[in-house]
Amino acid sequence: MQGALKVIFLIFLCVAIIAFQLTILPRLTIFGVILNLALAIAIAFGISQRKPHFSWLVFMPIFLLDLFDGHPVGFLTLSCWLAFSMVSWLAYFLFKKNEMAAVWILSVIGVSLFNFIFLVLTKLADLLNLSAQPPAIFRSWTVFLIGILMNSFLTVLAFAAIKKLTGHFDFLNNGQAPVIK
Amino acid sequence: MSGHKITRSMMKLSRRKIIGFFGALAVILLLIFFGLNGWLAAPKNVAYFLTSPFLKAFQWSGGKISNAWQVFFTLKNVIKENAALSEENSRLLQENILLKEAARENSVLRERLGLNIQLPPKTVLANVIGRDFQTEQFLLIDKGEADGLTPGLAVVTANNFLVGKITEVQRSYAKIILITDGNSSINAFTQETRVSGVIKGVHGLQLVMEMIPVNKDIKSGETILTSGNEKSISQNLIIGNVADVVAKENEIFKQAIVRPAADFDSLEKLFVLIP
Repeated sequence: MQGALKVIFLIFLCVAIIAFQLTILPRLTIFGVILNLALAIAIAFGISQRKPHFSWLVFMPIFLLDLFDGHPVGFLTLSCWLAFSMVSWLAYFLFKKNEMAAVWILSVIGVSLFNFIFLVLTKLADLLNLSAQPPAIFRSWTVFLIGILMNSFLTVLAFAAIKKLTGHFDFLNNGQAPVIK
Repeated sequence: MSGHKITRSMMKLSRRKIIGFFGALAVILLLIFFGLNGWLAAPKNVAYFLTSPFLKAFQWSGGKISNAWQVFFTLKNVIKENAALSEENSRLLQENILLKEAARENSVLRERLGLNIQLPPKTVLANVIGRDFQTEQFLLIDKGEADGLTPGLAVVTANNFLVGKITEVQRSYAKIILITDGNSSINAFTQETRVSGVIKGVHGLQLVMEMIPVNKDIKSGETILTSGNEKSISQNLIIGNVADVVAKENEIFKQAIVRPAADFDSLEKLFVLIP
């Protein structure tokens, strides 16, 4: 695929993910939890160690979500970036052991980290009056934990999809030796 | 490649990674700074321009899926519900005739007494194009600054059921906070007993009317209306019905659990009221 076409295709994909996230997924809540597809994709890329040629596009869905839904804007991207970096770093060590267990562990760590950082940042914004309308994101421990489990499961699925797709679309991989064979 | 060369290339790689990490962090912090100062209106409008066709298409198909899902689950109750609705319909028809008569009489009397006739607020019809993906407590609508919307305006359904308030306005879209959100508070009163209080959301799950003096009695099932004390929210918008009253010992205020009138799961078209 030509360079410009690849970028257009990936932007198209990102926009479709955002639309899906903001319209369909909130209607499919399970136990009051809304799945976060943009986060799952970013964490899955972090685990797989496959950096696409257009690596900034991994964060484009979460950045667009941030623009629409950030309180204040940037906190979602920051939480996701920190969780992604931590997971990428941990993946170096964990993948030397059992692969499937490592994917699950890293998914749970990544999603938990994201939620924890985002919760702390939001509370901080609330304390410092940085946000006019901070969201009441924390409902109960039960919903919080179910959310982490369900989003971790989605991350594992996204990971499997990335693993499958990198065989077909070379631009999803920059030629680095993938950690998972 | 010798061991020395490998170590040097690894160091170069990790140095590049560290620079990349802090570079990205700096960009994100700059973004937060811009966002806090309200300098992201242009990117927000571009993002909306790019995503709005998808949002509208997905919202439409999502509505169809949701309706089909609901029909499937409620089919068995349709006959029972139909009978109850027919009964309610005839009762409301009778009530409507009486109210129309009272309204006509009221307007004649107002004219006679020289009182100002209240003009109904201007309304702007808007479509729901998205929902908050974390808590479902925010909605995106396809009308914005260009249509005269400003933060704080009330948003209702076709039958005047209060849905929420506008919190953020961009050129061609706006964000609404639902009344069930934990940060939402609206001055209200009970229709029959005329007791005032504040309606607050509880974690996006239910509504509670607070600040009700212990010595005031309110009935279960009473309708709760907006008081109109807030400049941008008109009076008499329907919030919900009293489900239960909770009074604790040694407290000067009691609470009422309120059942919201609006069905937040099936919102598609909304009206923004401009007073």
